[in-house]
Amino acid sequence: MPRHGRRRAVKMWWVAATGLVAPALSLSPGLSYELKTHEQISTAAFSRSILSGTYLEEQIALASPELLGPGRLRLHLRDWLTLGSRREDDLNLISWQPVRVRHHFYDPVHDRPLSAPQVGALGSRAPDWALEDPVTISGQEFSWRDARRSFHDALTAELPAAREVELARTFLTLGHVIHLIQDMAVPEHTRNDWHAGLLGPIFPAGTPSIYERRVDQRIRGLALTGYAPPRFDQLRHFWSTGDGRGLAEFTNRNFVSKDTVFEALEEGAVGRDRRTGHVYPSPRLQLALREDVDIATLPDPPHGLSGRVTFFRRHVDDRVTGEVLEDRRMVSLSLFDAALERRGARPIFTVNRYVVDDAASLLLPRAVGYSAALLDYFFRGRLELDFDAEPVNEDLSILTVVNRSPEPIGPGTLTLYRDQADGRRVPVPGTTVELSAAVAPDQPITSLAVQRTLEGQRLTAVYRGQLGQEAEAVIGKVREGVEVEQIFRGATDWMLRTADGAFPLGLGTGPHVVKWGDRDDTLLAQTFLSGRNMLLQAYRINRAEGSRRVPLKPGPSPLAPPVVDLAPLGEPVTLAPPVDLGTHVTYTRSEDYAQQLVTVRAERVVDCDPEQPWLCWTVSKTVHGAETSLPYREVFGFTRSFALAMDVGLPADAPYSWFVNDVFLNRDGDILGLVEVRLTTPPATRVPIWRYDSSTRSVAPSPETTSVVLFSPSPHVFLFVVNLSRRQVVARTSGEAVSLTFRTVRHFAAADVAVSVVSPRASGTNWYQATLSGTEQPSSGDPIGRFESRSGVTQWDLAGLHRPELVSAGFAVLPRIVGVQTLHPTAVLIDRNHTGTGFDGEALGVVMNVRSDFDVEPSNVLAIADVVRSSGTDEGYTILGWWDSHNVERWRPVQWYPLAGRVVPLAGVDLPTDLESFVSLAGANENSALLRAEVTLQPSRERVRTTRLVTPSREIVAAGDVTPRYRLLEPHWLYGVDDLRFHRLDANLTPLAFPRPLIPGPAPGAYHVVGGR
Amino acid sequence: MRTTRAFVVVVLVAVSLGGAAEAQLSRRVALEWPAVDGEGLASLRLGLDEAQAPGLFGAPDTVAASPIGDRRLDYEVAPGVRLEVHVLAGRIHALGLSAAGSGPPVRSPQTIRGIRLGMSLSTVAERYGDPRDGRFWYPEAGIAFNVGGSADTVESILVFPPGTPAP
Repeated sequence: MPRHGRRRAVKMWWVAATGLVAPALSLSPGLSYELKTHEQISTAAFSRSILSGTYLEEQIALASPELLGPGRLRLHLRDWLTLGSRREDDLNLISWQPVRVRHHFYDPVHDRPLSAPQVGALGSRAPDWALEDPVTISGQEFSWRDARRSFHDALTAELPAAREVELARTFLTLGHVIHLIQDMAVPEHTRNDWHAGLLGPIFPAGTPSIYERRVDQRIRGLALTGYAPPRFDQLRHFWSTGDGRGLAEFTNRNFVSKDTVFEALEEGAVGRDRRTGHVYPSPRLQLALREDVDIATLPDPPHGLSGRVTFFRRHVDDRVTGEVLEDRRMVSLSLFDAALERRGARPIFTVNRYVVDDAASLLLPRAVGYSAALLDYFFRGRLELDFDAEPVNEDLSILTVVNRSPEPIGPGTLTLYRDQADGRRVPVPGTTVELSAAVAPDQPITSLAVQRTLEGQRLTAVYRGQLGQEAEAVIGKVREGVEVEQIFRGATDWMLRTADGAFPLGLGTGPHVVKWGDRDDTLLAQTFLSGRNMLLQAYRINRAEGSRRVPLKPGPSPLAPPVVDLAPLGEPVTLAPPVDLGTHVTYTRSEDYAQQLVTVRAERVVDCDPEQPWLCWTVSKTVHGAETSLPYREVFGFTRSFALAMDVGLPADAPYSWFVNDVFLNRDGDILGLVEVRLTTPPATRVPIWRYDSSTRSVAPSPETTSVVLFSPSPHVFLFVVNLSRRQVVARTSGEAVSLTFRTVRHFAAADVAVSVVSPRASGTNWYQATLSGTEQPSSGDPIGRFESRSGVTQWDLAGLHRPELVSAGFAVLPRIVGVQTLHPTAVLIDRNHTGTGFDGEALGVVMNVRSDFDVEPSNVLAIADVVRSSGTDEGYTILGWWDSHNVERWRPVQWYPLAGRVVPLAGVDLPTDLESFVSLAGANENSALLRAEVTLQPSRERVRTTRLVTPSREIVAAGDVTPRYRLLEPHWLYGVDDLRFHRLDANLTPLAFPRPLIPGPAPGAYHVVGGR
Repeated sequence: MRTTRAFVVVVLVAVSLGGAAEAQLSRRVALEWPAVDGEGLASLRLGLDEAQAPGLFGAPDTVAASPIGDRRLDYEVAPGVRLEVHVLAGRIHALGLSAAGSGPPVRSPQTIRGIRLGMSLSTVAERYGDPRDGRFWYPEAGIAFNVGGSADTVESILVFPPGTPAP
C-alpha cells in the first residue's frame, strides 16, 4: 500500500469508528451548523443533486448504492456523504489538524479566514481548506483534491474491493467538502464571528451562535428545498465570485451575526468585527424599515415577556437569481434598549429567534442548493464510448471516446482499462492518450483501433486533467461488459432469466409472446385475438438503460414471490380499426387462353375371317396428315384499382391479403409492425377441353375440363413498417402509387388421331377415337403437321413496386419464361405388342416430337424472398433477395435503411448456381445476417445444409444448420443458447469467455444483449 | 395372321411445357405465402374450386385419401416439403404443409401466430393453447399441427374452416 494510502487508511478507520460516538467527540455545539443540521442539509443536497438520478449507474455502472467503505462499514453512498459532512467538525487528536473547525470561516469582504487581533489568521480560508487550493495543506485529507484522488482510485484500482472502498471514500470526502459550503450559509462563518461557546461564561472562543442552535432545534420543521442549484465555472466561485454570487458573499452581504451587528441606531449604520475592527459594508441599517411588534402577536412568544419588540428589516438581494427579497427581518433591538436610550447609551442590536427564523428560511435552501451544485460540479464530466466496425479488419473495432461534458477537456490523460473475469481492472495496452489541447463538448477525444472482443468486456475510460477551469478533474466512464438476458414463458408467468436468477415478470401467461424492445429496459407483450387481430402492450422495467439490475417489487399477494418492477408504457394497441397503408394499387391481369387441336387422319384397311369375324388383320395403313383447328380462345382478365389497408375485417375475396410478419417496440416506446401485403389469386375458371368427336366426326367440347387461373406472381410482395401506436406508415418498399400489369398467354395444344377403318368385307367406314395413356417415345419421321403452342408472360410492368434504392440494388421483377414454343408433330408407326388398346404386335400411333424454343432473356434481378428487422437504432431491415433465371439461382442479402433511403449490400451467398437451393434468414443485426441454406445435389437428391454468416465483406460458412443453437444479437454477437457464451464469427464459431452465463433454464425464448454502453 | 381385338389407336398429347415450368416455380414460391389460420395457405384459399390447385401447381404428384375430405392432392413444393390440398365436394376444404426427412425445412411459411415448420411444440402450446386430448387441433382458429403423429417439433400445419372438429 502506498505510504499516503496507508496513512489515509488509518485515518479512515478512525473516522468511521468515531461515527458511532460522534456527539461525544464533536466540538459542537457552537462551531457551525449543528451535526443534525449538516446531516439534514447534506441529505437534502444529495436528493437535489445529480446523484439522486441515474448518473452513477449510467456513468460508472454503480451496481449497488450500498458501499463497503473505510472501517468495513457498509453504508448507502448518501450516508457516506452525510457521515463526511458530520465528521468535518470533529476534534481529531491524532491528526495534524486536530481542530478542523478553525478552517471553516471565510470573510469574503476582507478575503480572510478566522482571524484574531495581532495574531492574524487562525486557520485557512474555508475555500482553501475545502479545495486544498492553491496548495496542499498538511493534515487535510478530506478536501476536493482528496475526493478527486479517491474518485480516480475508485475507477482505476486493480481490485474490486479497493475500488469500492475508494468510491465510499469519495463520498465521505465530498461530505466534508460540502460541509464547508454549508457553513457559508451561517452569518458567523462569513463575518469572522467566533462562536465556539466553550468555557462560559467568559467564552474566550466566542459566545454560542443563536442562529445555529435555533436552526438545529427546528431543523425538521424548516424548509430546506426551493433553491435551484446554481452553476459556476470555477470551484472557488461557490464561495466567492467577486461580484457577490458566491454563498459566502450572499450571507455576509445580507445578514448580520451576533457580534457584527450595528453599533448605532443611525441610517446607514454598518456592522463591524469587534475583535479586529474590520467593517462590513453591508448590510446597512435602514431606519425606514423599522417594525415594532407586540410580543404577544409573535408566533410562540417568549414565556413571561410582554411589550413591544423592534425589528429592522432589509431587502435581501440574490445576485445568482437576480431576485430581491423584500422586508426580511435582519436584526432586532434589545428589550433593554428603551432603558439604554433613556440613559444616553447606545442601543443593543440582537439576533433573536425571529430574526434567525427569517434568515434560516433563506439560508438553509441556499445551503442545500449550493451543496447540490457542488456535487453536480464534481460529477459534471461525461465521456461516451462508441464502437464502430473497423472497415478492413473485422477482428478490430474502432473505439471512439467522445467528450460529453458541458465544458472542454484537455490537456490531460485518457486511459482505458478493462475488467478481467476475476474483476481485476487492468490497463488496456496502447490505449493511453495524452491530450495536449482542449477538446470541445460533444467532440471526439480519440479514436482507437482495438480488438473487437473488447466490446463485450467491461471497459473503463478514465480522464485526468483539465476540465473547464478545473485543473485536476477526473472523469470516469464505465462501459458495462455486455450481458445477455432472456425472456421465457414459465408455468405460471413469463420469466426474466439473467446470470443472477429467474424472475417472474408479473404478466401471467395471458400474453402469447413477450419480447424485448429496442431499449434494454422495455418489453412488448403480444396477445393474439381472433383472426389477424392482436393486442400489444409495451412495458418498461424500472431501471436505467444499460443496467443489468433486475428491480423487484412485491408480488400480487403476500404469499406471492416478488416480481420484476415494471409498468405499462403507453396504451394498449390493437389492429382495429383499419390502418391506411397509404398505397394505391392498379392491377391489370389477363391471360390469353386458347386451345388448339391437331387432328391426325389415318386410314387402316383390315380384313377379317368370314368364319371367325373377330379375327382380323391389317391389310394396309396410311397416314393422311394433320389438320389444325382453334376451337376455343378467350382472353380472361381484369383491371382492379384499390387502396391497401390493414383491415382485420378484410373479406376473403379481397384483391390482396395482408399479414403481420413481426412486431417491435422502438426506442420511443412506439409499437411497430412489419406488414406484408400480397396480391391474391382470383378463383379459377373452368373451361372444357375440345376433342375430336368420332360420332359426329367433328371437334367439340369434351366432358373433360381444365382451369384458367389468373395467378398473381408472389414476388409482388409489399413490405410496410407501420407505427401501430400512431397508426402511421413509417416506411414501405413500394411507392405510394403502384401500377402492376401482368399479362400471360397460354395456348393449350392437344392432338387427336382420327382413324378410319375400312374393311373390304364390311360396308362403310368406321371412325374411332380413343385415348392413349402412358408415355411414348418420340421417333423420327416425316412431319405430318405443324402448329405453335405459346405459353408464358407477355407483359410485366411494375411501376412503383420498389423504391429507387431497392431498384438500384437489383430488386425489380422475377423473370419468368416468356416465349413461343413450336411443336412438330410426327406420325410414326409403333409396334406395340400388347393387348387391349391396339393391334396385337402392330399398332398405329402418332406422337408429338416436340421441340421448344424460348425467347426469354437472362436477367439478374431480385425478388424479395425474406425479411427480418436488423437494427432498432436506425430502423434497418435485412432483405434476402433471390433470382432464378434460366436455371441459374442466386441469393443476395442486403440491409435496407428505409428512413435514410439507403441499401447496404452484404456479401453474397456462395452456393452452386445450377442446383436447386433454398435460403432463409435466421436473424440479422446491424452488422451481419445469419442464414440457413440447403442445396439439393443431383442426381442423388441429397440435401446438404449449411449455416451462413454474412457481413458486408465476407461470408463465413459452418456445416449443418446450427441456427437452433445460436442467436444473432445486436450489435454483432453470436450467442450460443446451449453453452451460454458468445462466439467469434469464424468458421469454427470459437467460443469466447464471456458473458456471464445465465442460470440454467430453457433455451427457447427471446434473448437480448444488455449493457455495452 | 394376327388377330386383333381392337383396331383403333388414338394418341392424345397435351402440350404445355411452358406451363409445367410455371407450375414448378409457383410451387416454390408457395412457401413464401403465410399460413393464414382458417383462411388459406400457399396462396390457396379455402372454399375455392379444386381446379385452383392444378391451375397453379400443375397436376398433383399423388392423389390420396383424405381424413377430412374426399381426396387429397399432394404436391412437393420443396425437397421434403409437401403441400396437401384436401378436396371436399369439388372445393378446397383444407390445406396442409408437412415436412418429412431430417430437420425442419430451410424455408417455411409462418402462421398468424408465428409458428413455422420445425418450431417447438411448446411454442405452439404457448401461442395457441395446450393440446386437447393430446392433439394440437384448434377448431376455433381453424388450424392444427402435427395431425399425423407426435413429435417434439412442428412437422405439419393444417388450415381448415374454423369450427371443423378433429377427425
